[in-house]
Amino acid sequence: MAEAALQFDEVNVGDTAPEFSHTLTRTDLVAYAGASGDFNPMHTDEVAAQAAGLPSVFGHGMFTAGLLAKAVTDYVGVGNLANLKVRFTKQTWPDEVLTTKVVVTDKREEDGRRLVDLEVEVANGDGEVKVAGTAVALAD
Amino acid sequence: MTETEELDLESWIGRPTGAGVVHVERAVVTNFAKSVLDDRPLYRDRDAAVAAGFDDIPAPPTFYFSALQNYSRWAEEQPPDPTGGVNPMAEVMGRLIATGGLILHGEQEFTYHRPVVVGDRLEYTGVVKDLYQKQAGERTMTFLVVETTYTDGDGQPVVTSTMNLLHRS
Repeated sequence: MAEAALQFDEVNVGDTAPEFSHTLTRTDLVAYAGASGDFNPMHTDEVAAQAAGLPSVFGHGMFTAGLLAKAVTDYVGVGNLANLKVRFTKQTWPDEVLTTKVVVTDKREEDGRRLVDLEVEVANGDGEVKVAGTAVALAD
Repeated sequence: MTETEELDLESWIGRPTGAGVVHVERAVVTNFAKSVLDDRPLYRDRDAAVAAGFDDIPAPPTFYFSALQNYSRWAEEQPPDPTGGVNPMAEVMGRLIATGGLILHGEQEFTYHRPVVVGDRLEYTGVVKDLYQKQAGERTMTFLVVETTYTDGDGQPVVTSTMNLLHRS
């Protein structure tokens, strides 16, 4: 059960997936809160966030991770992801332009499976990294 | 007494954080994919999912962290609470945040053993894998690692989700 996977023989270290860019809005965060069930007011309630000393609401880390997962599965095919591991390094803020980066770092055969290792991240327009990590995809 | 002694870090490792049964439901999956701006037809159109090789609409990669836990536990099917009413996550982080500071989601990892699709019924158990502290200048960082394993009806692992939650004093 999976979409078409990367072709192992055609993938090379250094290959990159198409970038996905998005300007973060408060509506994104309210929609993500509803869809995920994470209603922490620091993400959805500007009044509460400012009362807590923040300049505004900030994004759910898992929203940014979701954008990254979309970029990864657009590249490796839905159903071919074996592992995704991310660190949340900085908060995201409304009006920031978030851009994904997915790079092939290795390809290997293990236990009869063909695997492609990826380095993955999301950064803003100034290059400040918000989410960074690795992914492993199954290839054909 | 230091914070570490009060917490007795080792005593929490290995303790259950919860257990349950979840159903992968179509509207929840489709709405979640939309919320992370994934507009692929296979997340909203069963015919597109079948054409892509799935038995039904698949769950997106980050679906397991919150949506599945928050919306997909049918109350009448849940097993007894294995924590004895003392959830280590609430207890440890609750004690720390009572002293001030901030709780942050530090890391998240998913290992996928097979695709999950709408209609799947999964069982899960959570356990504290690690609890440790580091000094960062004046601040104490406390890391709580919780591993949640989802299995199918045959007891085979389907997805493993590992969360690293941190408290910064």
